[in-house]
Amino acid sequence: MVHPLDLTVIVAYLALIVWVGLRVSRRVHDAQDYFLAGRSLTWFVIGLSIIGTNVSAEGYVGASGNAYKVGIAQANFEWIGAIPAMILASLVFIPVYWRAGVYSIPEYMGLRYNAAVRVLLAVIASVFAVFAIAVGLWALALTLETYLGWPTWAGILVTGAIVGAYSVTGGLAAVAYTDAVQVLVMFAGGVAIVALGITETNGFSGFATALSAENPDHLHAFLPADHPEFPWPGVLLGLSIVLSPAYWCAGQTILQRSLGARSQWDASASMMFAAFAKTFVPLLIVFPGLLALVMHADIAYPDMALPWVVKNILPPGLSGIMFVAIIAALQSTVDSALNSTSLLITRDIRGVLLPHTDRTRDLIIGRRVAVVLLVTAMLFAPAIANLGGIYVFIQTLLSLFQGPTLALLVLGAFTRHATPAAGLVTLVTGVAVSGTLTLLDTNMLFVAFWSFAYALVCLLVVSFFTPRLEPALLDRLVYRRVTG
Amino acid sequence: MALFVLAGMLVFLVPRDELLKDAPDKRTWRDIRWWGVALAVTQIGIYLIFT
Repeated sequence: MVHPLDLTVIVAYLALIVWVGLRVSRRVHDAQDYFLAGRSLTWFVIGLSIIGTNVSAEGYVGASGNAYKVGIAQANFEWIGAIPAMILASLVFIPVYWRAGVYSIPEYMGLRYNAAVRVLLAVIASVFAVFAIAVGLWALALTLETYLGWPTWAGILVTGAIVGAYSVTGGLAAVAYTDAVQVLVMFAGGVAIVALGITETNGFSGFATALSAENPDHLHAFLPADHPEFPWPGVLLGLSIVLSPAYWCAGQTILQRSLGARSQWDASASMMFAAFAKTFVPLLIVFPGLLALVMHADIAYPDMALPWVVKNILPPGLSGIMFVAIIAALQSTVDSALNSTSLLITRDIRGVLLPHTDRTRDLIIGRRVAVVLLVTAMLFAPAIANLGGIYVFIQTLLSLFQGPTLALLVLGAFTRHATPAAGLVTLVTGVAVSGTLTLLDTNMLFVAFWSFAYALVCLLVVSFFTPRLEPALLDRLVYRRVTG
Repeated sequence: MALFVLAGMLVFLVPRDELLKDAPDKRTWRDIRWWGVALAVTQIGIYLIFT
C-alpha cells in the first residue's frame, strides 16, 4: 500500500509536468518552434534537459546494479566516458552544426557527404527509437505496477497519454522544460539517498572503510585488463575515444536541444553545464548500488539494489520523490526520443525521399508522426517482454554504426579531404567490419575502436580517388578557427 | 589522467572571440574554456582519489 504522502508527491509531480508542458506548447507556431523550440532555449534549461535525456531508466536501475557488482568502475561511463567528449562537443562540434544551420546531425552528414548517408543514419536511429520508446513505456508500466499496483495496460495508457499530451503538442520546448523539472527531481531524490545512506553508515569514512574492507576493488575506477566487462584498455580506447564521442558529438536526441538554443554561446555553454551535472550523476545512479552492498542488502540479483535502497532507506515522502525520480528518468528518455524521431522521419527521411513536398506542412506532419510513433510504441510495449532478443539485436545494430559514423564526423568536420562517395563506402564497409568483429565475439568496446580505426583509414584512402564537395560548401561545413 | 590534462590545455586552441561572438555580454564567466578547465581539474581530482 502506498503511503498517502508518497501518493501526494506522485500526483503533484504528474500535474506539474503536464502543466509545464501544456503551458510551453502555446508557443508552437511552425516547424522550427516544434523541432528546435524556435531557437529560444537557454543554456541552463538545455543542460538539465541533456542530462534528463541521458539518464534513462535502464541506466538508472542498471547502473546501480552494475555498481553493486563491479563498484565505482561503473562511474567511468559518467566520467572518462563522457566528460572529454562533452567538452569536445561543446567547443568544436556544436559550433560546426550551428554554422551549418542544420536541424539534425543526419542533415549535417547529408550536406557533408550525401543524401544516402543522411537517410541511412536517420532510418537506423528511427528504428532503434521506436524500440527505445516501447521499452521506456513498458518499464514505466512495470514501475507503476510494482509501486502502485496498476495493471500494465493502464500504466502504458496513462503514461503514454501524459507524455503525449506535452511532447506531441509542445515539441522540443515542452520536452526541454519538463526534462529540466524532471532532472531537478532526480537530483533531489539522489541527494536524499546519499545523505540518509551516509548517515546510516557512520559518515563517508565509515562508508568507504566498510565498502573496501569486504570489496577491495569496488573503490578502484580501473579494473584489470582481463576483466570480462570493463577491461581498462577497452574503457580507454573503446569508451572514451569512440563510443562516448559518437554519443555526445553525433547523438541526435542529445544534441537536438543544443541546436534549439537562442545563441551559439548558449548551445556550447549548455553542453559544458551538462558536463558539470554529469560529474555528479554517479551520486544518483552508482552510489545506491554501493550503499546496498555496504548495508548487506538481501537481494536476489544486482538490479534490485536501487529498489532495495528506496524501500529500506527512505522515509515516506522521500520515497515518493525517489519513485517520481525513476518515473522522471523514464519520461524524459521517452519524450526526447519521440521528438527527435519525429524530426528525423519528417525532415531527414520524408524530406529527402519526397523532395517536392510542401515544407510548410512539416509542423503538421511532425505532430502526426509523433502520434503514430507513440501509438505504435504503446501497442508494441506489452510485447517487449517477449521481444527482448530483438531489442538486443537492434541495440547491437545501432552500436555497429558508432565507430564508422564517428570517423565520418571527425574527418568530415575537421578536414576538407573527405569526399561524399568515400563517406558512403566507409559507412557501409565499416558497419560490415563491426558486424564481423561482433560475430567473432570481440568485446563491444574493442569492436567500436577497431571499426573506427578501419573507417578512418578507408575514408582517407577512398577520398584520394573520388571528387570533393565545392569549396564554398566546405567553408560552411568544416571546422575553422574564426578570429577577430 | 593525461587525457584530462590534454583536454584542459586544448580548450585554449579555440579562440575566445569565436565562443563569445553572440553571447549576451563578454564577461569573464562566459568564457566557457575556463568551464572546460574546471571540469578537467575536477576529473583529475576524482581519478586521483579512485585510482
